[in-house]
Amino acid sequence: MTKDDPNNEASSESRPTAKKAKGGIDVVEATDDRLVERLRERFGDAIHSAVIMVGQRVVVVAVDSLAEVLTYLKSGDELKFDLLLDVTAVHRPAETPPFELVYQLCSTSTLERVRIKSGIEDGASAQSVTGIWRTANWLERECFDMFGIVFEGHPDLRRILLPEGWEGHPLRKEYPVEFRENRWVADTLNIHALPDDADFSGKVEI
Amino acid sequence: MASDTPSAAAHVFEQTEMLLNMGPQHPSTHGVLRVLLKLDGETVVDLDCDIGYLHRGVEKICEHDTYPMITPYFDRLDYVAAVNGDLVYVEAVERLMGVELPRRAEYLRVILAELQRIASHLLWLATHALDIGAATIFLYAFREREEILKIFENFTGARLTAHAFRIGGLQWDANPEFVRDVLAFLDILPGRIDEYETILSENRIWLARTVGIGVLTAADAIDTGLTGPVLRGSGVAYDVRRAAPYSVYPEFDFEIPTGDTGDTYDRYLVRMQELRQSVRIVRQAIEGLPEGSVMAARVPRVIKPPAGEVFHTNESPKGEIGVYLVSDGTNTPYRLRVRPPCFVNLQALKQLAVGHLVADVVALIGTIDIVLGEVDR
Repeated sequence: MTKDDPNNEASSESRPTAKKAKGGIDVVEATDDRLVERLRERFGDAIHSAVIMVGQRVVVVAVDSLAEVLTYLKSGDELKFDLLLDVTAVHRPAETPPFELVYQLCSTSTLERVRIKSGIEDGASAQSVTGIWRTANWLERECFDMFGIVFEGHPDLRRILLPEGWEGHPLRKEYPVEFRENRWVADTLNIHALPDDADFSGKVEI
Repeated sequence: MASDTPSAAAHVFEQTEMLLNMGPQHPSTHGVLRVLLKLDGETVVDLDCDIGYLHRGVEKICEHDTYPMITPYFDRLDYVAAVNGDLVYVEAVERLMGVELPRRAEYLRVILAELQRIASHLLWLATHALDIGAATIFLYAFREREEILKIFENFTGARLTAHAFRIGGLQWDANPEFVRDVLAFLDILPGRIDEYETILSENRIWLARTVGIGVLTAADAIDTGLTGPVLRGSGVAYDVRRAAPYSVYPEFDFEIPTGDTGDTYDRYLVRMQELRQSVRIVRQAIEGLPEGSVMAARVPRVIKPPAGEVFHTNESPKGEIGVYLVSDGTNTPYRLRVRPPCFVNLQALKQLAVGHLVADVVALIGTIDIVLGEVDR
């Protein structure tokens, strides 16, 4: 998705109305979308891009304005996105910024949906949205657990699925899928990586 | 000796808060959930859920598997509603690839998904009632669930982890026995639901254990991100089958039952109504079952969805299950995120339980209807 990322495309001046990304997904610039118009009017340059992909609204927002935009979407906008379905992240080590926060919003009254994304640097912290939606509590904890993204203002930011004391964040791309020696596993479960010259012959010396 | 008595008595009546560990090996937690309770006498003051005992790193594994290899993992997320897990995953991939399904495949998918919803709700009813002390209903509900599992075994070869769907359709077509068995089951189930309701709905013990226990207002439920019967029990008519329709659900006539007060009894009523609505949907789907192929014509042998992303959600028996699929155009997903309804709904346990008695925690875990395979992933 590096070169054909529709989000990069949005900044160029001559925008085609419909564009095929690599492989043929329809990515349409969200030009006559009233929600996007309201967001652009209100937050200006903080709205980096807005596209419709596979029939879904995707808005990329500057990370500094993320909390403001989400607050507005929950209570200020006429669409009333009162249901936060998901908070997650995507790790793209080759890109800057390498992490992308993803918020899936839904409105239980108007049934509209929108996906808000925001790039974030490794080691930088994002504003917690636990004050806006209570459900963000565990979702942000999982995001922290899996990616190491810190959410400022979170009331109880600690690991949720992995045990306290675990090393590393598994959904980062540099984290291997195979077993690797880990202090928590060694101390708690007494499982160690095999030595390089491990003997698998099955022969027993008597 | 006598001089010791007053201080000993004072110790007996001293008020202290107690920490009580519940689980992870506890029958009412429906898996490996550990709940740490802070108690004042028998009243819950605070609680913390310790989850992750069943964490298998499914999202990480998916990044290293090809698309068809991933479907069985979705069987094992919510393992009592495997078909609904399969459905959301294959639909997400198909949506990204732009695959159009033959109508027979869509209808068979709806039939299996709704049968699985009935099976999941029956299992919920059985265990929830058993937790509260109604042992008879457990045997009754399992008797009916067994019929569904037999139908699944006939159709897919597996009773629980059905692996029912393939990207682009279904591997097998329904045989004549399938239609016959489903129709026979639909004939008996409504009467059996009446039986359950006769046992429970006006039972004094059942009412004492469920009415007014764990009340959630609609605004609270939405704020906590609840979906599924737990949200509808609070009076919000939000059902993904209507809110963001998928498959052929718009073609069927069914209602979305809701509760008024949002207590455990309302959530029970909602699920009982949903059983009846699912029966309606399956009957319509069987009666209108089109002829034709069950596999889309142009599904490539190697599944490589184009680069892009999609967030697809379904109404699983537990709530809104979602798949956020990011593809980079190769044969493995770049990132696959499961939006787990059980994980999000379990978060409400603290709100529900604080102020109630320890015994009610068991009822409240049951009313949320969690499966730890999906909570921990």
